[in-house]
Amino acid sequence: MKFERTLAWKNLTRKTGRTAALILLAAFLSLSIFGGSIVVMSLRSGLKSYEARLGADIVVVPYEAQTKGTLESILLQGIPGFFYMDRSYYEKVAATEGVEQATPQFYLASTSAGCCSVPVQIIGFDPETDFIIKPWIRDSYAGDVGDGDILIGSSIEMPLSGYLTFYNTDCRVVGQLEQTGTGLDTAVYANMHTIRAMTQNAKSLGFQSFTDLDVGQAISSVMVKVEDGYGISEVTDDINIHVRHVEATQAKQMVSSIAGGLTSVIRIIGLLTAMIWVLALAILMIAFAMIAGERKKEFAVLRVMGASRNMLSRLLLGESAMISLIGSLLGAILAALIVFPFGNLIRSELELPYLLPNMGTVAALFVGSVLLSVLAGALTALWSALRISRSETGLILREGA
Amino acid sequence: MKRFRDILPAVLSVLFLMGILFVFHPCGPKEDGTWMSCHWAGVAETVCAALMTVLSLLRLALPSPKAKNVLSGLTILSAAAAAVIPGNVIHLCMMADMRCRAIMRPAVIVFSVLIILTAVWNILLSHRRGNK
Amino acid sequence: MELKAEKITRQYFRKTKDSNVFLALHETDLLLKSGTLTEITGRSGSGKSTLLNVLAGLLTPTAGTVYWDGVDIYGLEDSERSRLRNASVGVIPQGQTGLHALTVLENVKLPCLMYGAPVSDEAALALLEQVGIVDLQNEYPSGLSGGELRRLAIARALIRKPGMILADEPTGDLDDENTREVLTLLRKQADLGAAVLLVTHEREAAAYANKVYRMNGGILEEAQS
Repeated sequence: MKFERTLAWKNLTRKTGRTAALILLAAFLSLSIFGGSIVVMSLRSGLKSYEARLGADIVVVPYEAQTKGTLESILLQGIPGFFYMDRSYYEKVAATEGVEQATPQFYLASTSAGCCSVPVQIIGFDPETDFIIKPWIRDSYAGDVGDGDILIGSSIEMPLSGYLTFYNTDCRVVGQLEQTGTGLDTAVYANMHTIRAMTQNAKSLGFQSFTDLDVGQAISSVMVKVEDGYGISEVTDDINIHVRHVEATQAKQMVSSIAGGLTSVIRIIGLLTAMIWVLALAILMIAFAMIAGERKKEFAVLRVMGASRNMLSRLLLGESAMISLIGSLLGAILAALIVFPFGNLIRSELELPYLLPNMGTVAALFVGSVLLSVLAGALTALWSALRISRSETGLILREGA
Repeated sequence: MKRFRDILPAVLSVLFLMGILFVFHPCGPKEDGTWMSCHWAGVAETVCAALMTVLSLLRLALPSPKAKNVLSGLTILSAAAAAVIPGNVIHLCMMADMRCRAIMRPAVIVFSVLIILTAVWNILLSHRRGNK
Repeated sequence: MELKAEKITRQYFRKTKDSNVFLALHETDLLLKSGTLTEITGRSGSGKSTLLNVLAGLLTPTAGTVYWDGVDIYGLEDSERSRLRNASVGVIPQGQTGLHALTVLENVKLPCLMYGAPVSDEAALALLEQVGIVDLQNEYPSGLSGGELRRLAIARALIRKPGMILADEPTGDLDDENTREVLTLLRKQADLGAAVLLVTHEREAAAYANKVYRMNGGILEEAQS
């Protein structure tokens, strides 16, 4: 084996141009499958996390939510938006039959003054009734979120001072939430008192959006949990019929509309990966067949010296395995250099929940992709290797003479 | 192959310099015209990239293998500095989807890693050649 | 070492006027004994190389048997036959046969590395010295002339000190002086105990041979001296 390995390596290093081209082709195999599967897994776990973070069965928003930035764009892409309705709607919704739990939320978009040149979504929750944000907070922060305290999403960098200011309201950052891969990561969370104080300041500062708003009575949405034994769609219809000026949507519908988009993205990635694999493997196979044909005389010379047919097959398979191994490692490393550092860019371009899998899964995917690519790449030379092992040396020498 | 190895760090450094200036530059100024801190990270990256370009071009010009290795070592240090500056030495914008964090930092990391790898490759192979 | 061929024939599939089969080698018997140099001459296409390849274990005969020291080589598995060829037969094939990825020195040492036989640079360099290309030891075959490549093939065939040498036109690209040197070298191998078969057009070669055969249309005949 050592002889075949040494000769295979020398053959590859002597023909650098050809070897580099073949390595590049092999790199496409692992790049596409590793990169593709990381993106697909991130999208899938993103959707799961979105579903988990939504945490409600029904979401109720005012009609105007459609025009002033939908809840979906807040939750998915983190595009700040705000819309308001009177608190009385919360009571009406909570009183609907079949509603087990209901909690109001309050949305406010910051000006750029807070940290960056872009506004930030601030989400206010009611600690008394909340069943959405608190369970999430509990994963990373043990204490209460008092007045003036805020928690920041994982995509916001912790300020050195420990404070952030929104509409002249200094807020103490008490913790950072776990990543969700959704727009919620770029939001800031506060209790109702804090967010109302901010909004009141905004109103006093003369921000037009809030001039007519009764800050004390306003809410943005109501999250509803349906009691066991009641149908979610029936309760949704009930709210839509009995409570005017609001729109109730089943959370499942919000998730399924995203799942639809996700399926198409996954399908496109799958199709692209398949196309790359078919093309790269076909080209590799043709290349090895051409190389084997070109080197018939060389193989005959090795036979003359005493190489067995199996040795020749091992030599060619060794060359293809080396090319595939180097190519696959390079491809997977390159994919890692694209997929991980540019995760935020991919998420914002896809406009879908995107949560990278954990390190263990990533490592397993890396090893699996490299192994699969090496195996597939090495096997492209199998046909050529078989052909060499069947050819009669005397005939080749006769042809070449 | 040797020629390719020699030229690669210079090509990567020039691409890095062009990239930080024109492609993956940090966020622009705020509405009031003032700069955010990521702007200064961008300036520091430009200096690093220019330094690496000079080092890699010098490396191409100098014939001595020892000098080449010293320059490769300096390139590794500059690339490592370039990789840690954004977000660690100089703060970037707070939001992860801002240009400086979504595009500039990842691109800087990718280029730094590639430049470090090629420099290490050059040093290792020159040692092996030296031993032979 | 002794080589014995009994009633070997070789047919190729080739359309001719009368049939689809072309008989390149008619029924042939041949004995190559240790310490002798046997020469085969004949026109191009007369079947000389076919005979040599059959004797070298590189071309399965249509009929007949080839024995190396009493072993029926075509009765062996390919791997066993290859190993035996590597250990005891030095074949110098026609044409230019340097391996492009290896230097001249590496090319010469290659047969020893194949099955892990010990080899020293000194032994390989001594052979290169004998064939007159020791200065080219670090060159690659692409930088060598036709004659130099022939000498490389000769040195490579001799590196394992084979008991039998089968040379197909080993002086093909050489000038008169080098031709004489190569023929002398092969004669020396025979004198040292090898069985040498030399297929050649070279008129001069007969002077070095113990026995001369002529191949004519696939039929081997002893030449009149």
